Amino acid sequence: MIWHSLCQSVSDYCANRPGTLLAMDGLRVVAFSFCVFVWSALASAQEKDSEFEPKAFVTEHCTRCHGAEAQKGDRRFDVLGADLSVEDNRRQWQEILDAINRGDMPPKDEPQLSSADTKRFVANLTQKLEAAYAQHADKRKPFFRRLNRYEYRNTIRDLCGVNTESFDPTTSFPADQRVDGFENIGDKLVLSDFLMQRYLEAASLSIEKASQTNGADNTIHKVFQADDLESRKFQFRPQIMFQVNVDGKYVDVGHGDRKSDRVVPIDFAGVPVDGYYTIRVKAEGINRKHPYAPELLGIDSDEPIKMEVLVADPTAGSRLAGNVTDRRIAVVPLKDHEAELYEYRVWVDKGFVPIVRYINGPQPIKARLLRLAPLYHADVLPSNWRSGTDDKPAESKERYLSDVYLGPRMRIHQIEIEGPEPVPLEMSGRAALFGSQAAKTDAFDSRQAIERFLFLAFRRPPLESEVERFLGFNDRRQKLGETAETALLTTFQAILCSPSFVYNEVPIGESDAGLRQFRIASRLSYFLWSSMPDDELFELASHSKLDDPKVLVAQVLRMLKDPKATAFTEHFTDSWLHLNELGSMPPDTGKFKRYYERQLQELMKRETQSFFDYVLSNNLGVEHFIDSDFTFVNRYLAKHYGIPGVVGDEFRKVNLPAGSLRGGLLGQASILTATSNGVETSPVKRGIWVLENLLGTPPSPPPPDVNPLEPDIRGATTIREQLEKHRSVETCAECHRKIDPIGFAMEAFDPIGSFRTKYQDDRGSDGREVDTSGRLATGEEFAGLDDLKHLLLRRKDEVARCLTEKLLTYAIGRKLHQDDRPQVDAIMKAAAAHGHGLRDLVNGVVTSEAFRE
Amino acid sequence: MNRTQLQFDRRRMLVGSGAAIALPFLESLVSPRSLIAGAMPEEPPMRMVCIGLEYGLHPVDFFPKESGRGYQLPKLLTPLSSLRDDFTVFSGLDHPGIKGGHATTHTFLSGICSDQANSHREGNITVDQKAAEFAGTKTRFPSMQLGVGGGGLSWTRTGVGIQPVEQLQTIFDELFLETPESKRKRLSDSYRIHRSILDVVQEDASALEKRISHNDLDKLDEYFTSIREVEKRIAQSEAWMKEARPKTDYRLPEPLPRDFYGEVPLFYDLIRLALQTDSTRVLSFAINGWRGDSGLPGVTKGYHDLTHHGQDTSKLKQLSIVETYHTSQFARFLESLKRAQVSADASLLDRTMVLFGSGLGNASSHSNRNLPLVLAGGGFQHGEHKSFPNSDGKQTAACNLFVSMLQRFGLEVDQFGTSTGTLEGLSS
Repeated sequence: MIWHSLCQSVSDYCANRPGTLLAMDGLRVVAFSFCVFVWSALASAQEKDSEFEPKAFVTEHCTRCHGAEAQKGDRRFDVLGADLSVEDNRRQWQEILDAINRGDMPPKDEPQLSSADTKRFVANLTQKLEAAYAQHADKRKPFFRRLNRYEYRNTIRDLCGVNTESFDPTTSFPADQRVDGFENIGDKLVLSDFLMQRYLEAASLSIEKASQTNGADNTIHKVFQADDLESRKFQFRPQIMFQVNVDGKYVDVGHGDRKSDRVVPIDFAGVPVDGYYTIRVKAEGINRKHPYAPELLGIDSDEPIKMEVLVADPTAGSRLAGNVTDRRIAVVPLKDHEAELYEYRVWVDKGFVPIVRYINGPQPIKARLLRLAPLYHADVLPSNWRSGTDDKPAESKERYLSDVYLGPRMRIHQIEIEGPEPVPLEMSGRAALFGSQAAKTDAFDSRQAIERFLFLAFRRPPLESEVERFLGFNDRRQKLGETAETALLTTFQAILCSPSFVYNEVPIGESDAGLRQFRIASRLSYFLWSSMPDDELFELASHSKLDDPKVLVAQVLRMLKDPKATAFTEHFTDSWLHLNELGSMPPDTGKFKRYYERQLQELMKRETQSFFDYVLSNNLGVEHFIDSDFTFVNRYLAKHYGIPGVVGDEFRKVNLPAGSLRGGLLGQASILTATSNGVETSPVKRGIWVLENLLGTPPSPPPPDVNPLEPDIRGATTIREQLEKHRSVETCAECHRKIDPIGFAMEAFDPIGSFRTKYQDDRGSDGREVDTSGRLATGEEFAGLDDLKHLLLRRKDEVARCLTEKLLTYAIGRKLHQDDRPQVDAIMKAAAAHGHGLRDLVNGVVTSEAFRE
Repeated sequence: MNRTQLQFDRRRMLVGSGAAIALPFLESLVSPRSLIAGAMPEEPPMRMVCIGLEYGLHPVDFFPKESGRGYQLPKLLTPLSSLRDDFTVFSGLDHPGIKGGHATTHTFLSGICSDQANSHREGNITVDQKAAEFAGTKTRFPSMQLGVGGGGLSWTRTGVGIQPVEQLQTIFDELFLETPESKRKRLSDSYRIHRSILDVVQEDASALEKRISHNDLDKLDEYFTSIREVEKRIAQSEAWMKEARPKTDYRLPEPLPRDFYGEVPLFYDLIRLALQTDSTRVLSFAINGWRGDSGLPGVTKGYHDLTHHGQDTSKLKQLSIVETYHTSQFARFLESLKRAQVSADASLLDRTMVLFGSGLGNASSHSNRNLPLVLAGGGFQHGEHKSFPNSDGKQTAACNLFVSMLQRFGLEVDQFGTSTGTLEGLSS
């Protein structure tokens, strides 16, 4: 069955072919470069060719397979020019040098080179390329880059002082274009009229949000008892959704259905203003141990009964069954038969209400009770209601299921909400807008306020002409009848639509050292926080301190300790590892029920993020991404992985037992799921993922004349046999001998990353054995993933290079050019001294010329 | 011309065009008699509806074996038997150079991959959006995008994928619910503020333009163009706000169905109503998979899973139920258009070209070759299976069909996407 995925992967890959970083777009421009060569040959380079030593070497050793007769791997060097002023020539020569250095070429079954010849070739070519890079280093141009969605949201949070835990001004923004997983590549971030309209709306929403005040007269203290949470009539029909208020003393919730009712104050319209509130819930767990057969309820009775506390805007969708504004405050294990008051201090937006649900309750409850009732409670009817929409019972019965049910329940005694806490004016959104002094006195100087806001919004000192422009706008608004304050707020809205706000990279000020400093401050903050600089960064920029590598390294350390740095972990791992593709091909709901029951996707991402954080904060070497003896899990993920002895919902570092395949990235379910299509695994897709994102050696896209094979499970062919056939086609073989073996080793995991030794058919029965053995293109054989990781560890330098390129791309928001190569080399070289520690690489990136250009 | 002058002219022009916006043409209220009685009634306007299926249609069940007229209806087209002369089925058309299975299904209406949009003059604009630009402000909505199951079909010329509306109630309200007075007031205030903001940030951008240090002004052009377009939209919204929305007796059922099976026909109903009331002349409708229960009798597995059938007969059987459901609903929609008259001698179907198909040719092999395509209505000569055999490795571009559609829609174009001309043998 699984070999269907072969075809998909080949074709998926084709379209999606992520350009590589340094080896960028090479193959697409082969034809083009050929023309360039002809042109440059005519001009000047012909004589130089014969003097260009490396050319003779390549002609002698390489052109039999990469020449006029054959172009293996889609590469042809007999026509490769020696003129290194042509960017594509530099790229191709670098590629040859890399392949020789790695020992990839010549292939093991071809005549081998003498080491003296090779040494001489490498030294000579390296020196020539370095000289060429130095000559072309100044060709890089500054460019425009606009804020993407998450950067816009974070910037509004920091600029306007609004809480964005629930509030998101970008919900209606169009999705940003992704380039090889990156969502912050300047030239692909387009600005459309559609987005401009959203900017107008978002600016108005954000300023309105920031400028509201919460006076003492808005304070509330509400206590909701059982009758405020659930009407009593529901006691008779727990089979539809087990949420029962029997006598007005408490509400019992017996179900964990995700799309069914939660406990919510019925007539509460939501909190009156934004602010910090205290939510208290009195609750206990009932009958965790019960007399029913465990499989009837399908839950683990060793696990405590757990309550989820949320806040949500009930008008944004379904009040009872959940909607997009749901925000989890806590998941708390309840004590058995011992009511306790749980208290949370949380930010609640205007109109939001507190909600609780029984997060690990039995589901779907209706089906389960219909099976259970006849077995244990034959004397009661599950219900005496004719239908779920009736409002009274059809007839009176003595006993109802709710009277005799002995299963587990979450019991809610009351829910309380109190607040908001008074906010000191200097901490309010108004302080962010007007300055803390002005917010306190309520007297502001419009010019000052505009100057200040322009500085923060533009992330640099504003020009006098800019101040005048917006001050003029402010005056016109006042003349139209707006009060001084309203006019100022409208002016702020306008500033949020200015190009100097929406573009965080603008190609001005190359000659202006002061502006360059502010650009570095912005780059730092958008790199590590995905947001605007803070006061300290502005301060350093205004004193021109940001050219000093020591200062930059110190800032990296400080910034990574800030909670805002979670943005780096989240968005960089999303981009580098393509975790942002999770959810675009969701696992089949029938085949992979537990993926949804335990919301594994979220947990999988958490693991990878925690792992990355740990490597980063301990400055561990990049080889940990290939293999490690630890990972991060909670009880559910541990169960998914078969790691015993992990209880509790919190993620913690666990040491992996010897022989575990889960070490490093290749055993993490996030990646295994993101590289599957939700139905089947694909060795091709996974192999390509490793080549592209770990080793940095992406294969060429398939040639245009290859037709995808249509899967046919009626025959008895395995994926290996299919791919073997595929590899017998010469054009396919070149790349697939590199792709397939790696993918085979990863066949040990199914589409959601569960370990398997046998394939399963559609009915869930075991089928053929999984064969994870293979032979790398370079000749080494392996029995499975464990072996493969050991082989990959030998190539940790390639992993370091790949990661450096990815980091640099993310940090500067553009695809790398061939001429960035020396920058990447320099970063690698500096970090090599300490074993390519991840934080050293980050330091190398921010101190590189590319970052500070 | 300097910018200030430009801006002055632009403003004048906008005021002018705002006043010239036509009233909605409520055909449902106009009887054929009054049309005939009027002096030289105008020809009813042309409309375009594009319907796209995420997972294509099983090729064996979709493509007829014989070409020309009188072909035998294949299994999936059987529901359209009573409409035989109202549609054409094509084979052998696709988007040259497009590969990648699901990852490139979004090229359905453009022929161009979103990540290649930059290198094309009109980006990866879809055929419906091209038509919408032409239809412009003649209707309340220049175009509408609807969808079930996530994902849309329409892309703008700036490379932005338009999110479709997925809530039936929202669509209904947009079409028929009158804006309350208080909201109108608020809206017109915010339009005024937005216009003044656009003025000042445009000045700001012009000043910036003089300071940037190289000649690559593409990004700032994007910014200026966006401003101009938003100003036009605001003018349009203001003009339409003054016009009453059409009335209808149609009511959505309560409660609304929550599964695929129940929802799809209601979407088609709303599309028909939008056309009948001339609320818009261009619609796209994206039909993707479902999460959870489909509600379709006899279907127990996920749609995506079923397309990975590997020739397994039980899966193929279920897939066939899903796909037959799609073509049946499509047939029902076409019949409803055919029953609606827009003039003495034309039905709504005669004046609406409906494209039904997918950017995926074969979901099982993830091939983007040989796309399943049906074109109905729009006054074309129908009734045939037009086959475009793949001669000496040259495919016929599906974009040729789009050029023919655009021409029929009234545009003077001879090129669109990857087209090489109009589609041979398709006449009106």
